[in-house]
Amino acid sequence: MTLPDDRLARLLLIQGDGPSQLEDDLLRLDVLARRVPRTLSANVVYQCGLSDGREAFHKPHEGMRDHPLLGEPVWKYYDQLSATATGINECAAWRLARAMGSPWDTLVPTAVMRWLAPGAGLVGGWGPLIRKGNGPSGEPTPFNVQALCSPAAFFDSLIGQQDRHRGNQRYEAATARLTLIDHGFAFPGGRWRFKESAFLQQRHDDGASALTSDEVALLDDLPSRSVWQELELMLMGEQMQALEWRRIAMHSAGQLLPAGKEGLGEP
Amino acid sequence: MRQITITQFNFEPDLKTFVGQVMAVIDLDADGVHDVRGSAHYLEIPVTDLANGRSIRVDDDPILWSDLLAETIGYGDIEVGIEDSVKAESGRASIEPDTVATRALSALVHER
Repeated sequence: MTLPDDRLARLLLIQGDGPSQLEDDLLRLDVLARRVPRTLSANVVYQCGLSDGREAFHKPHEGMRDHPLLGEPVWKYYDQLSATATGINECAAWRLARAMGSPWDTLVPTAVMRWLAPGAGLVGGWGPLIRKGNGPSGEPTPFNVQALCSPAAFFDSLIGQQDRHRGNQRYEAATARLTLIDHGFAFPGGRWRFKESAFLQQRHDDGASALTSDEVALLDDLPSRSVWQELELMLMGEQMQALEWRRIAMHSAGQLLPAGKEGLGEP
Repeated sequence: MRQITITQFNFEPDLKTFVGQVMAVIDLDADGVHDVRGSAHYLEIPVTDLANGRSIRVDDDPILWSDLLAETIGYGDIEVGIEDSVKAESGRASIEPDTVATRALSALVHER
């Protein structure tokens, strides 16, 4: 089993190699302000102002506290190995989406791993820095637009998204742009730890469970892309095995995986 | 009566200040939702009770739903405020989803 620290170091090396313009901006621009939430949450997420005026979110690993109902950090509930693993998952989701191309490279927000200094009242340290998606959360429109819902469902099925409730997406009506947020609990290890995604459920409900020829071709091609090797370096062995299992199961059946965590069967 | 206020924050007009935009105000009690002003779609979001994995809709248990809403949709720029013992009012002006209730807050931390 690869140690989390090693995987973090590998991610840092990978993300520094040929970053996109926005990745480079997130890695390099000064963070001039962090907004401290007034309401306490089990997971600290800071709204950050970058020196060029854009906004991003920093989710420091050290900010993942015991959940009042669970008595333990939420990442344990989702069968993650550590808080660090959730940050790596955020970045892994982006890197996969980037490699998959359009439309996923705009649906999934750019994320890099970055260290920010702690300060008075601020949790610092390593954590993903994620571009802000425009618009409010929880809008129902994306679930009713096939061009948005279908690729979101495909992505959630592939990454085993465990936390895509209807609020974990942003939609800006003026630009018709959807942003999928919160991938910390994606890439579950094990075939059975898969919870429903609202987009996945919607696409099933719409009778569109069958994959398109383009989706099948993409699944066929993914292992030959460099991102697959990147993910092997970043993710835990069992996470990668489960990702490969989901890819094969979807490809061989020509269908999305069923929503919910039971009944996935053997590939 | 419990009043739920969902606010989204943005750095405006620059990084020295930020404003909260009230997206929705929901009045509810154990019997159900009594009033919604702003974006009613928040009522369609089910929340998950992590203690047992159950998905809860607002009609199932309004109080529990509101207790869990902050953890569900709270994400950096979105905060969910809960105020109990709010008296029900009638004839109150509704808010539009894009109407900004601006107020400068003091919690901003300037890095430089």
